[in-house]
Amino acid sequence: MSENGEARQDKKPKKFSDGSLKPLLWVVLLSIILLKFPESVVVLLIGLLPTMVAFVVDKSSGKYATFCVGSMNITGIFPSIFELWAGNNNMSQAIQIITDVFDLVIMYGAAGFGWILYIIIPSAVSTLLTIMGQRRIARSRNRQRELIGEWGKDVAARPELESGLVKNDSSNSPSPSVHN
Amino acid sequence: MGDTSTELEKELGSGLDPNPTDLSEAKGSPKSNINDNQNTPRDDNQVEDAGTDNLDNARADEQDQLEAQLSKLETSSKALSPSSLHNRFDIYPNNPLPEFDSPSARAFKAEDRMQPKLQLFGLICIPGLPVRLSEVEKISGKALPGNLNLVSFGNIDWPILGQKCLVLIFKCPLGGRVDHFFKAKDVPKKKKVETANLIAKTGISSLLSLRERRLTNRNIRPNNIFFTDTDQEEIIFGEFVTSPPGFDQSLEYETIERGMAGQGGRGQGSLDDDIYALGATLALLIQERNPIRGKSPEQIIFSKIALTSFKTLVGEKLLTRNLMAPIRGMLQDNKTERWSFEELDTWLRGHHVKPIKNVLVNKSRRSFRFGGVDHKISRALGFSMSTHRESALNIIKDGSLEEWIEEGLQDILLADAIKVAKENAAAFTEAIPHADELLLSRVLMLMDPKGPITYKDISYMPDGFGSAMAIESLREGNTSIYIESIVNGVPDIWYTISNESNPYQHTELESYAKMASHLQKAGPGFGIERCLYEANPGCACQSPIIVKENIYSVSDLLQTLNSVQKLVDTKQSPIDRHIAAFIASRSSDNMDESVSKLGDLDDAMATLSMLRLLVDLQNTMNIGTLLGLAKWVGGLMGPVIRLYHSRGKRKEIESAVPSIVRSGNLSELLSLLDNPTEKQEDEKNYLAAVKEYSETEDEIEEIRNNIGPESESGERTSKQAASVISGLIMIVIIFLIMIT
Repeated sequence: MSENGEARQDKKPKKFSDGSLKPLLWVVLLSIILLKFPESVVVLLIGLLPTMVAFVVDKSSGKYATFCVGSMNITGIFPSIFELWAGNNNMSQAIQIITDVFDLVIMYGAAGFGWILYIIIPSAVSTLLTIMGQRRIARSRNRQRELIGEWGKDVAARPELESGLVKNDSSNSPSPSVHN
Repeated sequence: MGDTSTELEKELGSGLDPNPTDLSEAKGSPKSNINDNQNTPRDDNQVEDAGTDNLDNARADEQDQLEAQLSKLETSSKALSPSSLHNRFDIYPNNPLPEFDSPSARAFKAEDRMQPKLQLFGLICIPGLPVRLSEVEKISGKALPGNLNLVSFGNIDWPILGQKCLVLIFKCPLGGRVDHFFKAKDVPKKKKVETANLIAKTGISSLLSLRERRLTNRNIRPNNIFFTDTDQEEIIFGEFVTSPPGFDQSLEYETIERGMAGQGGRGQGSLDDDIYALGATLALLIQERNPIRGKSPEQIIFSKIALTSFKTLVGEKLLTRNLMAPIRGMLQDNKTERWSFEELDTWLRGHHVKPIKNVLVNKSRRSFRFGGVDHKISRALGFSMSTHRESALNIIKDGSLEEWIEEGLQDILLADAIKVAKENAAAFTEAIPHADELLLSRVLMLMDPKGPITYKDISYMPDGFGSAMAIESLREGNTSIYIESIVNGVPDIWYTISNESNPYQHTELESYAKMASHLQKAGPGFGIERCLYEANPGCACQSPIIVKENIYSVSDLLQTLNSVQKLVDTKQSPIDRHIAAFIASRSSDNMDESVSKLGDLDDAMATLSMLRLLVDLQNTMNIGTLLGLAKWVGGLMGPVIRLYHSRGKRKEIESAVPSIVRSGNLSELLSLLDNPTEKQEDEKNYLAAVKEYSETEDEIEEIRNNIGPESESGERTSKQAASVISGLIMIVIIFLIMIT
C-alpha cells in the first residue's frame, strides 16, 4: 500500500512538469521578448497580419499557404526590422514604420506575392510532374510492348490471376512444363 | 483381249458362290431366305415356314453390299498391265480364272518369273474382309499334303479396284472341281465311288497335316475340292484362308451350333468341325439326289436338331453304302461321339470301328407351338425363339415356357434356372438397361448351352466374335449391338452356362475382358476400332487414310503413310482412331499409354503425342528416312511450336523445321520440338516476363495516381514545391539585404 502511494506521488509532479510548463515557458519567453523588444514586436504584429490571416484561412495539414505567405511576408518586413534594429530602435521609430504606407505596401505586397507564388507554383510544378510522369509511362509502355512482342498477349495476364487459372486448370491440362 | 469380266459376270451372276450347285443352295446365314419354303409338314421332325422377319430383309441388304464388293473385283477394263508381287510373280488382271474362284476371292492367272512353266493362279481377296492371316503365314511356301500349296502371298496394286489387294498365289489344280465331276452324268458310278473314297482318304490326311501345324480348315465342301491332275486320279483340298472360318460354308457343312451362328460368327472351330464338314461333303457327294434340296436354312437346322445331321444329310439314293460308317461317325452332332482321327485311322486301315451309340434327344410329350412351328425339343424351340425375340419374351414372361419345360420336357433343372433368371431380371429391370434382352439371351443359352452366343438379332460362337463384328462392319451394319453384347457381359453368361470344356476358354474370356476394358475408354486407340483389330488379326487397317493400301502389319504403317502423303488431306493427323487402334493392337509392345495421349484435349499435346508415337514406331521398326511423312507431320506442328511462349524461339524452330523435314527424320523433329531444357528455360523466362509486365503496370498506375491534377500526392508535392521556393526566395532576399 505504501509503495503504491509513493508511486502515485512520483507520477504527479512529472505530469505537471510535462503538460503545464511549456505554455508557461512560452508566456515567459514572449513576455521577456515583449518587454525587451516592444518596438520589434509592434512592427512584427502589424507587419505579419497577412501571415496570421493566412494561418487562419489555410486548412491544409502542411500549412503550405501560410508558409508561402509567411516567407514572403517576412521578406517584406525584413527591411523595416533591419532599419529599426540598425537605427533608432525605439517605439516612435516603430510607430513611424507601421504608419509609413510605403513600408506597409512592401510588407503586405510581399505577402501578396507569397499568395501569388502559392497559386502559381503548384500548377507549374504539377504540369512539370505530369510531363515527367508521362515520359516515364511512355517508357514503361514501350517495355510492355516489347514483352508482348516477345511473349505474346498472355504475358499481360496478372500473375495473381494467372496463378489462379493455373490452379483451376491443373486438373484438366497440366502446364507445358509438366509435360516435359 | 475382250472384256472377259463382263462375260464372267453373266456366267456367274452376282452370287457369292462362283460355282452354284444344288448342294450349296442353302448357303448363308440361317436367318436369310427364311421364306424360301412354305411346304413342310407340321410334326416334330419337320418344320414349317418360320415366318417373316424384318431383320432378314436387313440381312439380305447387307449381303448385297458384300456381293457388290466382290463383283467389283471382276470388273476390269481393257489391256491392264500385270501386277507384280515381290518382283517375282506377275498377276494378270485381264486373265480371270473363274474355275479357281473362291466365294470370297477371285482368281486370275499368275506367272512365276523364275519358273515360267509353272501353272499358277492368284486369288485376289476382298479388301476389308478379314483373312486368316496367321494361317496364311503358317502355310505359305510349305507343303501341306492334301491341301492346295500356297506359293506366296502379299499386297499388290490391283488396277481393277484401283487399290492394293492381298493376293495369294497357288499352284493350279489341273483336273477341275470334284463337284462338277460328281454332277457329270457321263461319269461311271464306279469312278464316282472311287473318287469319294479318295476324297475321304485325302481329306483325312489333309486334316492330319493341318493338325500337325495346329490349324483348322473350316472350308471343306464339294466345290472346294479339286483334282490335281488331268486324269482325275488325285485329290487336293482348296484354299481356306481368304475369309473368316466357316464364312464361305453352306449351312449343311457346318455343325448345328455353328450353323445357328451368324455367317461371320461361326468361329475358328476345331478339327472336329472339319471332320463334320468332311462327313457332310462325302454324304452329299455320294447321293444321286440332294436330300436337303429346297429346304430353307431354318429347316435344315430344325431337321438336324430333330433328326440328327446324319439323317438330314443322308437320303435313300446312294452311290455306295461303303462309306456309311465313316459318314455316320463324322456327322455325329455330339462332339464327344463324333469320330476322331483315331477312329478314322482305324477305318482307313480297313479295321472295324465300334458302332456309335445313338444319344437320345430329350423330347417333350406334348408340343409347344411357337413361331408357327410345333416344338418338342428345347434346342429347336430356343433357335426358333432367337429368330422371334419379341414373342419369345412373351412366353418367358407369361410362364408358358417354364410350364412346358417342367411338364412337357420334365426338365426341372432347366425350368428352375429359367425361373431364377426371370426373378433376377425382374429385380434389376430398373438398374440394367436391356434387361429383357439379357433375360432372353440367358434363357436361350440355358435352353441350348452349346449353341451360339445370342443377343438381340445377332449370334456368334465364342470364338467367332471378331469376324462377326468385322463382317458387320464391312456390310456397314449395326456393329453397336456387338459392342453392347460385350459391355453387357453376354459372352460371360455363355461361359457360365456352357459346360463344354474348351482348351481356349481362358484365353477367350481374357480376350472378352480386354475388349470390355477397351470399350470403356472413348479415346483414340480404344473403343470399337480397338476391338475390331484385337479380335481380327487378319483385318486390314480400315482407316480412310490408308484403307486403299490394305495393310495388315504395323511394320508397313509408316512407309504406307509416307507414300500416301501426296494423296490425302495433310491438314488432318496421320493417326486417326482406326490407325491408333491398329497400332495398339498390332504392336508387340504395350502402346496403350502412348495412344491414349492422342486424345488429349489440348491440341498441341495431342499433336506432340502423335509425333512421339510415330518416332517410337520409326525407331522400333528401324525405318529410315520418311520424307513424305516428315513433311506431313512437320506441317501439323503449329500447335506444338506454340507451346513455346517466346516468339523468337518459335521463329527459330519454324525456320529449323523445313531442313529437318527434308532429312525425313522424325526423331530429329521431335528433339527440336520437345526439348525439355529449352522448354523449362522458356517457361522460366515467360514467368519472369509476366512478372515484369505486371510490375511495369503497377508502376504506370502509381505514376498516374501521382501526377494527375486531382492527385492528392501531386497537389501536396506541388504545394511543398511552392513553400520551398518561397522559403528560398526569402533566404536569398534577406541575404542580399544583409550584404548590401
